[in-house]
Amino acid sequence: MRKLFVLLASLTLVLSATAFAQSTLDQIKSRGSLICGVNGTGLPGFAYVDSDGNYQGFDVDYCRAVAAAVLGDATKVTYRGLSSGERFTALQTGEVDILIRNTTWTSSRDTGLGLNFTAPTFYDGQGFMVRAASGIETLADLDGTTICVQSGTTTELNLADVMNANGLDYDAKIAETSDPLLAAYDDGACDAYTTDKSGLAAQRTQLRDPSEHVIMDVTISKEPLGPSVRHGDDQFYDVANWVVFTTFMAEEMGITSANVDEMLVGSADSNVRRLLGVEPEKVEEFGLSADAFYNVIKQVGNYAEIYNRNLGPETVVNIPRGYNASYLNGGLHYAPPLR
Amino acid sequence: MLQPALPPPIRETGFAFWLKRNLFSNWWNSLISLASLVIIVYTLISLLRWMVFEAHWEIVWQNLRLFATYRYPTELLWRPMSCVALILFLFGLSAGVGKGGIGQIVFKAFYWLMGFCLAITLISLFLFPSVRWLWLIAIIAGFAGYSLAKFWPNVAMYLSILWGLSWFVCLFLMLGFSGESGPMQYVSPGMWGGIQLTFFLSVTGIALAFPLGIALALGRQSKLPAIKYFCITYIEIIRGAPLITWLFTASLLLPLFLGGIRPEALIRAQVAIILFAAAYMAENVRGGLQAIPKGQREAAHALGLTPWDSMRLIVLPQALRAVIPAIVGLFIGLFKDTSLVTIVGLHDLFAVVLGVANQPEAKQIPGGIVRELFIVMSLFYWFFCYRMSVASKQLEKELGLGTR
Repeated sequence: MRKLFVLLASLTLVLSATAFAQSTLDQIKSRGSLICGVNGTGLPGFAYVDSDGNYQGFDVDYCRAVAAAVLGDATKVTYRGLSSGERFTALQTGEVDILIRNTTWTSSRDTGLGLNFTAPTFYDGQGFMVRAASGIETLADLDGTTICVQSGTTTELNLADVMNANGLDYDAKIAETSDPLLAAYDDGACDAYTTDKSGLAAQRTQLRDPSEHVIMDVTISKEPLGPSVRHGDDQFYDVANWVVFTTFMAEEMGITSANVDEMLVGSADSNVRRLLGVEPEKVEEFGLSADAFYNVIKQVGNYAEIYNRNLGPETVVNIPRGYNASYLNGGLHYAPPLR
Repeated sequence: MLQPALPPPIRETGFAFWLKRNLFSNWWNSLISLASLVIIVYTLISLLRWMVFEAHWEIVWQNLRLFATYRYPTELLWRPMSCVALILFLFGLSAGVGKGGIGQIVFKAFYWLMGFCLAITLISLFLFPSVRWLWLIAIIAGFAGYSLAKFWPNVAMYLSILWGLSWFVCLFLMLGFSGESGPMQYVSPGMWGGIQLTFFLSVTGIALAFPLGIALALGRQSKLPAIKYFCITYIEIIRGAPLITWLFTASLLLPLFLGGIRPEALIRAQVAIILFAAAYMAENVRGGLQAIPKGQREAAHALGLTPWDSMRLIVLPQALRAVIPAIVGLFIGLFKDTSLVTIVGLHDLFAVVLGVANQPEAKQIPGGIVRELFIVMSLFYWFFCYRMSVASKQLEKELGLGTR
């Protein structure tokens, strides 16, 4: 019995050691699917399960993009819906290959939690929604008002910080979850409602008359959201990072999922030829096949396509591009050169 | 001399008298009654107006599939549905062979379950073509089981084996085996969810916690100190923390005990639920064991039964019979507690409901659709919990537990 136990224990150790020794990229390839950690209870526009049981959204499209690059097929994704409490453990312990769950890049997550964040895919920030008729336009106008804010979040702390720093007085009306809080704001219990701007945009549509409310042109915190991977596997980190850059570059170069095939054969621009793998060396240096980034654009699209499909003006969420425009249009998305 | 006739007695029966005595006996009672009436009528009217004119039930309709099986592939829905058919069939068999009072209770439970399934069948016949025939087959399987049992009552001997086997068959049907395509392709438990997961977690939990709980209860009464104190420690530690703690512990620590191998999230949660339920089960069973008079064991000993046989044949059957209602109570609790698995990333009915509330369609509706979703979910939980609680009451009465 004892011998059997020792045998089993050593066997498990050996097995787990080999599991860790293999690189993430090889694991994904041998498994044939990318395990992507996404928001389990749903965030409109970013990740949710539609009534046919399929995951949809901005974050979900980045899972598909990574799968397209590594496996050549954007559908080969195994989604793991994660709660906010277990998301980092799931990534650290290898339960998911990559975490794309509206997660803010902060220093402590980089160092303490051992995460590597790729370039942000979405620049969010805390903002305010007020009634258009109230005439509140600047932060100073919020002096002496009642503000609806979710309790126990960084949102609540950010609000307190910025109001104290500016010597402004306010009453906070708090609730645990967003729905009752939004209803309170709609009933006039608060003058302003604060949360991340992406959330404001998504929740404004839930009000009785969305057109009566405006999102103020004030941002009081930095919330860069993006995919993250584990420390210690730089190869996969590079792949994830450059999949994000590919979507930026494609937008910069005007390559879309519709015209990528024409570009593949017709383009004389060597930047385009390197990206699409016509000149394969640069893409192959990632340990990927030459058509990896072509597949990303073909199957998922460039950044503008991903954005418009999930967050653009045609969607319910409808968030203005703002910081999330390409640097060519005054935004923050900028890809280093692929060469 | 004739006595003058007495006045007729005051009427003491009828609705009017009941009203007068209970609600309008004096002025302040009348006032309270009237005020209550106004409040009740006003609330009911507002609720009805909301339910009929304002509520957005269409989003609940569109997502019924998610509530039932979450992301289980549509073309493979026949697999969990075969499982439903199998369970209805076995339930039909059990209801058909049942005799006496307990048979009646099983029959009534079967009757209500069939009613519930029939309602779903009617809905899907008109609205959900993908599962239309599957539900019809499941219903027919239920009737077939019942009729078969009437023709062949001897099946009663095999029922417990069949029920035991059905668990493995269901697990196999829902998981499939490896392979990426074909009718029996593997469906990872990560794709399961909704009511399917709620039932799976609670039924498996109670089924495996039952033997474990009996073992712990017997162990706690053991004369060997090592076993005794192990059982006491286990039971008291597990009962000393809420289920949510054990779910987190299992989710985070189990992989450490297993040397870095991470079992599926479903298995981790299921292990936590089983271990948790076993501790409570042990205490229930211990209550039953202690209720059996010592004389029973002594009589068994006098007849020459070994301690093991006297436990197996004399004490345990009586003890377990006495705690059936408590076990049903435990099951009802567990059935609802499974909603806690949301926090370890599993999608039971409750998690699915939260997810549906975050679909973009739902966000276009003033106030969202949380209210509609929660009403539907509460009705579902209520139907099953109430039905189980009724069965438990009937069992209690049938076994004469309160009267002996």
